[in-house]
Amino acid sequence: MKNHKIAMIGAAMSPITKYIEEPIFDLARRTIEDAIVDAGIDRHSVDGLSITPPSLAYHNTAMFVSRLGEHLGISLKSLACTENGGCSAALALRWAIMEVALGQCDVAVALGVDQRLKEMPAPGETIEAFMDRSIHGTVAVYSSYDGAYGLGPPIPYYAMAAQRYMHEAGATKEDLAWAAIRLREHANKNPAAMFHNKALTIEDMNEATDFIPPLRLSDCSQFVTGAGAVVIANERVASSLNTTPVWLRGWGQSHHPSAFCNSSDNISRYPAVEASANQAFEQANVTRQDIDVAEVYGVFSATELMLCEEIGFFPRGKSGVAFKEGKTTYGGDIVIDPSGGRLSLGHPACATPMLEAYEIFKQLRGEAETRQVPNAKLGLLHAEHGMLNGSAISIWERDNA
Amino acid sequence: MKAIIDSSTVRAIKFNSDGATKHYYNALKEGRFQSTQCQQCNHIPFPPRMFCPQCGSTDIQWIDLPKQGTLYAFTQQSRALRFNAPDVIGLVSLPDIGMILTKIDAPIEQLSIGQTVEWNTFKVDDRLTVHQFHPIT
Ligand SMILES: [Zn+2]
Repeated sequence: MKNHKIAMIGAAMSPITKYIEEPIFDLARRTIEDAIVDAGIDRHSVDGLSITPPSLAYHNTAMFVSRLGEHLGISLKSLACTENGGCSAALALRWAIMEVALGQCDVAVALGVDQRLKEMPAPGETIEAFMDRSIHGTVAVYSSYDGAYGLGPPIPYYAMAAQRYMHEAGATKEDLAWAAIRLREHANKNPAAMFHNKALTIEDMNEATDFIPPLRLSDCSQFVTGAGAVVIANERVASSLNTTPVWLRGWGQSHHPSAFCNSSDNISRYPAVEASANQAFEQANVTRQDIDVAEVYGVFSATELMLCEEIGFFPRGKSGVAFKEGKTTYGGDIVIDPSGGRLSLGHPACATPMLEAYEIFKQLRGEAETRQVPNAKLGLLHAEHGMLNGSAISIWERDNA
Repeated sequence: MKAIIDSSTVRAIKFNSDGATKHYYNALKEGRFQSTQCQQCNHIPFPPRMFCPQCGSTDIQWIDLPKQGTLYAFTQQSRALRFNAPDVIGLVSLPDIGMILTKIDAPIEQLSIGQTVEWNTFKVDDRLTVHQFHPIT
């Protein structure tokens, strides 16, 4: 980013819901159009389009981005579909940034979209075909070795990581509860959130039974449906608009040589997160304390706490207390996940990093309405794939001209 | 339903195999717990690989793994897909090898981190055998 200033100039997201009835194609198209309108540019000035697959659950998504480009009716100089689990949307964002940085595109739109399919055979699908699709999906992610042990969603892996975190770092179930509660408080300020207007108290958490020990149901995110899109532009385009650009300050990316579960090492430590954070902060030349607002990819309460420690916001084992004491919310040191986060915004995995980008953009623009972080100047967004085996972190700054 | 799930699993494992997968599962059927060892640097990866991920050598041999380890972490699923609920799952740490995901053959109430556990096999059906560990202390 040394020679090219990259700006985010527009963003949009859909409401987050469990399922949608409309075709995913329409959701994708509408979110892109909304982001272009938000940017206040002519739709034909867009010359790059990078997207995630339309759903991590689909099998056949070949040339989805080409069909979307055709459907939009926009001539493009670059288009791509990027997939690597939870990082997919961060990679689509990265693609847009790179094409603008390379000079290939002036204005590139990045889209993240994901859809939860109903947990039953589709019309006309046999039970055999349905089980084949479901089991192939999980074995592909967990490998031909771990895949034999009957895991559906990866909750048992994260539960064991939570158990080790508590065992090693002294975190408690009350610490985990406070992560879930703060995120719910934030979701209650965000009408787009899945869990908007649904209270969650420490009493609720204390009374809840274990779902997959030591995790309770409210310690877990729900995999749902949603889409987000952002518009990336070069300095010339960004400066020609009558709006405040949000500039990219730093980007870090790292992958530990492990697939889903980093079982070679320590499942409650995430070296890829730490490494990507160090890269991003070094490039941005700012400190952890400088960050006003962050969106992190904590899909479970314990993961949220561990992530905040690997990024460097709090020392190991101390995040729970920080959440409890209000350091991660309005009036504290930093506002973490004003959107409601994965636990309470809802988690369309393939789209999540773009929803985070939307939130950071709105916060830095001062357009986050009732959930606005006062004077937010620097924002961080984090994405991960596997069980935090890989991580992408970027730091963005409101234009101060 | 079990037959459908088992068939899908067998197909999915085959579809996602690498060069070592077939040997590994055939050994499990024979009651052997194996991985590969590099003949150049002695590194033992798990899962097995037809090359050494540490030094890159393709000079490897199949070896028997230790059948005792320590329980590193554990949990259970009440909505189990393959095994009867409650389905207890764990990560077992094997000396010099690392952690291995496994079925645990014991109620969760009897488990604690650091327990010594021992390996044996669990036959899913004629085509697929997996491993499980149980506490011996
Ligand atoms: Zn070697």
